[in-house]
Amino acid sequence: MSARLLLAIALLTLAWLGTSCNTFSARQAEAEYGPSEGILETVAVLRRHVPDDTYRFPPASDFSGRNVYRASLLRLENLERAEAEALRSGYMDAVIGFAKARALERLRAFDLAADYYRESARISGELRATALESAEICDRIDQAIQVGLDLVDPLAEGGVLPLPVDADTVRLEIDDRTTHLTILLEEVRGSHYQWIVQEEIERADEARAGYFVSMRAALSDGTLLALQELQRVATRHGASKNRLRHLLRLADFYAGLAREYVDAMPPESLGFDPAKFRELVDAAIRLYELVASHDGRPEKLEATRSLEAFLALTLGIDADRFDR
Amino acid sequence: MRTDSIVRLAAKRSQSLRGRRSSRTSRNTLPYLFGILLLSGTGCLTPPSIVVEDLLEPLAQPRPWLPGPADLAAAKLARAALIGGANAWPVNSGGTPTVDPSIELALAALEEAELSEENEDLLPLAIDLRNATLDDPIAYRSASRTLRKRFGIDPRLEGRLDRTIDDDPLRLARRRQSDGWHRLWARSFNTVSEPLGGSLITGFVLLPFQLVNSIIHYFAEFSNSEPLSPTDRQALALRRDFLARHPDTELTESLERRVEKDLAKLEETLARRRVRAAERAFDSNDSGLALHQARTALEILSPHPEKNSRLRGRAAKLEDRASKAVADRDRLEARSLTARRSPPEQRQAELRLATWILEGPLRPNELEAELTAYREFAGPDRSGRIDFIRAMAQNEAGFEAEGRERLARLAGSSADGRDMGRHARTLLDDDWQNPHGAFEELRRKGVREEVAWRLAGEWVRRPRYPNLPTPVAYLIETPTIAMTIILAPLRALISPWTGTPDFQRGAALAGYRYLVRYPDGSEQRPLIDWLYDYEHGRERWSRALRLADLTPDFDPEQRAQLVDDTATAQLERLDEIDRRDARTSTLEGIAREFPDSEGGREAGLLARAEYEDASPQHIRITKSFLLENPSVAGRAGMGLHPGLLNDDPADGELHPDGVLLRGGRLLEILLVAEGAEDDDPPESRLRKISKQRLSRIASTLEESVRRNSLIDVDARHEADATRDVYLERAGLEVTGDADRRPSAESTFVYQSLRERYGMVRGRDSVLPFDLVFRGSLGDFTLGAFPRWRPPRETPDAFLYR
Repeated sequence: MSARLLLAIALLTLAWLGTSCNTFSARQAEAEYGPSEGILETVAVLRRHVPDDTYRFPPASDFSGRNVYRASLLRLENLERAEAEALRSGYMDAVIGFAKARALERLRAFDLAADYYRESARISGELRATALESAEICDRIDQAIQVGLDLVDPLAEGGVLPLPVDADTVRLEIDDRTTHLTILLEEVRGSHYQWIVQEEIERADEARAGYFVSMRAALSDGTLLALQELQRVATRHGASKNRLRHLLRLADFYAGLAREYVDAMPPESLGFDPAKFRELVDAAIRLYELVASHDGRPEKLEATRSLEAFLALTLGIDADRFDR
Repeated sequence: MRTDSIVRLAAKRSQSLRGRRSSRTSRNTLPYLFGILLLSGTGCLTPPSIVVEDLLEPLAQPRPWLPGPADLAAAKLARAALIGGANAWPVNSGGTPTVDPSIELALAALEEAELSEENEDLLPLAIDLRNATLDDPIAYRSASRTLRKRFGIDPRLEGRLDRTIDDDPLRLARRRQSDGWHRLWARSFNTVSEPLGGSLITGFVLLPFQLVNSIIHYFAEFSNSEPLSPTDRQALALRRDFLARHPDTELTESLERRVEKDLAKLEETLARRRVRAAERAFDSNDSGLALHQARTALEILSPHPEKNSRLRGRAAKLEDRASKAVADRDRLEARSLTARRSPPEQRQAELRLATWILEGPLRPNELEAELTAYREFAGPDRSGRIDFIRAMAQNEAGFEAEGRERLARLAGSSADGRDMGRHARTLLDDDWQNPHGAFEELRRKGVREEVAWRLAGEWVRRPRYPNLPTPVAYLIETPTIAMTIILAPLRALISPWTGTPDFQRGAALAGYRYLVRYPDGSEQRPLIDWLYDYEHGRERWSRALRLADLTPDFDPEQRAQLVDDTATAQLERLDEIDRRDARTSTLEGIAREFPDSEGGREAGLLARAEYEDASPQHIRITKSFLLENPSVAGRAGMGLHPGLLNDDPADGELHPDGVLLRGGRLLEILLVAEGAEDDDPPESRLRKISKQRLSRIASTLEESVRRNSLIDVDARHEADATRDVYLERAGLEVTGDADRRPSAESTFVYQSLRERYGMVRGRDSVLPFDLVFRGSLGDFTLGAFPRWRPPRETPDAFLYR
């Protein structure tokens, strides 16, 4: 090998070392995006996840573990402030508004999303048609979800309103909501709104089941109705990302019933019926074990621990009344 | 991360300074005078620090900025990307989706536009946006791979593309499987390298023995392996996920075959665990549990009836045996409830005695006449009943020790043993009915276990290979167990530093149970003494103190010491408490409970400091972080006066603790105090800032952390929900009403990389192995060897066990 070639290799190596041994500060300084770049980056990340099927699969997360839609929304809000000077000219307003709306509709803020869509439609002729169409869909979803009872924040500052006692009206109203959403589902099939609407139908079913679970002591055959409703959610949404959660809820219901039964009929008392208790226990155990057998899902851990805790309940029962 | 409260620190410092000052007064002052002279001499070399009040600069005013052609092209591309997609466009001849032509046009326009210096990264980002509209994760990954090859792309985009490329379920599945092989290779390599390297000093004399021993363990370890390892289970889950997301790809058929094969293995893995659990339950006479486990194993194996026939047979046999055992147990239990009729001549006496027992409390003095009368009719065969009644009477009259002794005699005697002996034994064996007996038994057991542990270490519990036959497992471990026994004296010598498991915990529990159950029991005094020694020995001062208070004539000096130790121990646990209300409540409790102790006094002072220092938020940004991230400190963010960060104390300087976001719009700026050093407590200045400034601080903080995290994994900060909520609200300018709940407070500290990792960050070695130097007292060897590093577990590995 000639000396010249060796020299060239040595120089190349030195140059490579020089460029590759970049300090963090240098790389940090390099990584300064301009306003257009920052927006383009955020829009790219969001756009990549717009068509995602969030009904069947969990929503994507960004590198920090945040929900990608929430992260994008926060990012856009931050960019608006951090790049306030550059964005004052308004050249990106329509893009930012439209992107925010796309993020907000995945975060169940349909009314806000519709407002942002309308605003971008007003500013940009290019986005106008799609934005108005999306705004209308968001409005219809928003109107639909206002119908009937919904799941409520149990820690709301103003307190929680008492549940209505008329179960038939509640059921009819929620069914009405589901009907609105189902009609819409047929219209939006093929677009990303399909998943959003399916999520809302699932939520309506959950709200209905939640009502009957909460009211089971106040309604005749309430326990049976609650059980039916929980089973209905689990079977109707077997393809959902929440299917294991539905099964867990059902298992918890059986476990809760078993606990209530033990409280009301202490196992040593004469009224305790081992067969009834066994039926509840078997159902809970079977469901917990089913959920616990799903690898890679957090519900697995929850089911495993819940099963252990539930089995601990049976330790205090006489061996001839319950076979552990 | 929890911040040390500045006020608390200041309180502590002033306290320690006071202590130091008082100790100095009695000493000779000459050396101090000399020191002061020396300090004043050198002190003249550096300017004294001053405190300035001009801390914040006005926010940057908007400057006119007009978007260039490239910016407008980028906006057009973004608009096209937001409304266009691949769904409406046919796939190309290669089967991959194509991009909406309007997006391609917009990208072409951007490519043609002249890029300013500010927009030099625009083109790769625009290509990435175009790729994102492919609406197909596989196509997007492929396009990202192509983009990643481009020279000179921004580190942030690089990191994002790398994550996208790596986030391929099939690629990840292959990697998880290769992890399994890698782990096997590492184990094989270490099996040979450890004994080889460990014999260097001994001149390879022990090498043949060590090598053979190591190889035996290597093979024995396979007994702990499962048909589908956790990494293979990860691979299986990833492949199933891929199939669910992409049911129609060219790989579907081969993947389905693979998944089916692995599912059978997974069933075998889970069923085998159940069968082993059933065998263990059966061995420990828990036939009900054994039956459940065996049935579950059969249920797990049911989807593939043609596979795992041996395991299925094993489970079926177990089910059969367990069913029979359960039936036997049920039969015996039913028999135990059957009643036998007494002989007619005894019935009258039995009736009288039974009536007398049920009528009222049993008194030993009044018993004898009735019992003698009964004995006359019943004869000596029924003496067990008489003893049992006497024991009951003694117990009820407060002579529980005597009653227990009588029961013990009855349990051990053969007369009437079938009837009454079993009842006596049950009473004696029940931990709740006979807590003292349980205490004695558990104490003896604890002593036995401790002796065994001191002799044979952890080997007394179980061998490393539970799936091998027990004699074989112990045979493999024999050399190690022998060495452990030889080294027992040495371990005993160093045990005060290495710690000893608590072998008497059960006994102590039974002891406390006795104290509660028999407050006037005859064993109270010795038990309290034993419990005091036990708790004192384990340095549980508060419990020892409570026991000392149960002891009459306890030494007052020793008690005072206990009080002090208790207060100090409770104070030491304070740093583990994050919430300020819980901290304050603990401090108040200590101060109220131990007012005369030094610890109680300190707790009182700290509680006051906590009150004075309380604020809705306690988010700190250190000076070093601000220097590392000038955008946060600058006019686009906090707008801190530049003089505070120029390391010149003559124009005021920020303290290394930095600034504190106190909640609401309150900003606390910590300055180096007048004439003080960086190490001294800071001087605080509070400023109520505008909504806009707070919003900018939140935004620049968020942007900086995000940018740093994308460039360097180590720069990522821990998640902190309360911090994020505050900053999100600050960003949206809705922090008017501060959330004063202690649970809403964040004590997060933004630190620079240098503060977090020191001057040089620990890096993973580029070598695939670690060089280990090891000296063993066990076989008196000293050696050095390379130990192959097995691959690290992924963070979600615990969900696949």
